[in-house]
Amino acid sequence: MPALRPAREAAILRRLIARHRGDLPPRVLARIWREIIAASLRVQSKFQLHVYAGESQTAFVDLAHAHFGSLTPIRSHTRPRWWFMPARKSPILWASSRSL
Amino acid sequence: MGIAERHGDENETTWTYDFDTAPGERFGIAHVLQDVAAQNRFGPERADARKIGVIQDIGSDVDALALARVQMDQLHAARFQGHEQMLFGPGLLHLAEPSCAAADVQKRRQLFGRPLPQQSFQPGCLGFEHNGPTFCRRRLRQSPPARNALILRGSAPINRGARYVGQRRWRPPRDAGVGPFMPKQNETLEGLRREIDEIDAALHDLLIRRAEVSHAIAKVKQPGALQAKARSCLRCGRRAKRPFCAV
Repeated sequence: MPALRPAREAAILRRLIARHRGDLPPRVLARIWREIIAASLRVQSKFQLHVYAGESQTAFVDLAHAHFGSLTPIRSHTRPRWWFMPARKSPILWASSRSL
Repeated sequence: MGIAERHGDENETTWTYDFDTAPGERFGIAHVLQDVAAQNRFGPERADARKIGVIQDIGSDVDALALARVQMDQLHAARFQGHEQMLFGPGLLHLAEPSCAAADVQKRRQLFGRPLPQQSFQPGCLGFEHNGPTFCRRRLRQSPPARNALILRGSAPINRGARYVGQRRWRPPRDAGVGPFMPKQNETLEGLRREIDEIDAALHDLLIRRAEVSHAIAKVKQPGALQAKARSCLRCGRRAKRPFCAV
């Protein structure tokens, strides 16, 4: 069974934001919980991200860090086939493109 | 034998004391006469002799000499006389000690004005004593239980005696959610996810609580800052009423 369960992660975030109250912004809450969920995911399975970022690398790498945690190792590629080859051996695949 | 006729006041009728004593018993006529003389000397401050009743009615296992000298209208004198009479009836001391201890425990339980979760695990009026605290009592009293579920599950019970402080450090139970997690056998994925959800809810409550405390800190540091910030915000209602006016 794979460690990554995006549907459950989304359900957790939706439930927590639905019960949220107070002055803390919901975006901050989601950011905190993304870090916690990513750290828990790293506990279950060691993985590395391969990001196809094209020429503008920083935006997609930042997006990958925001979703999978700031301490998750990320390797960016400029061409799709360069990230597709190592991603076949990796247990978790994260693909970002210009369409995101 | 029927003896000891007492002369009362003008409007008081004559009253007769009846005593039944066996030969050789410690309860004698000298004590009775001494007691009657003491009653006549203090007059209205003492209890009415007619309300005392016949000593035949008192149980045979009670020391009548000890009971006859208690002055109920003087509390301090009765307290010292109670210690003195313990020499004659030391068995009463053993009856009094557990009652005082139970009352002490019950009093400590009622200090906070509401039942705490730790009390639900204890049978009533037993007063379990525990060792050593981990969390502050004031924090437990000020924080709502639902917002500190993790803390309360592993917190020290509060109804401790002060003499137990420092003898041995209190440790939370293994299933209290504070210590190391020990997975049970045949644990299902749904059960583990349910526990994760409970932990998330507790963490979320703590985050909300932390934000509220931060808000309070901001009020303490700069009392007028929040009001000034609120005044400087965009006032949509005022702008809707007067759209061409500077707000």
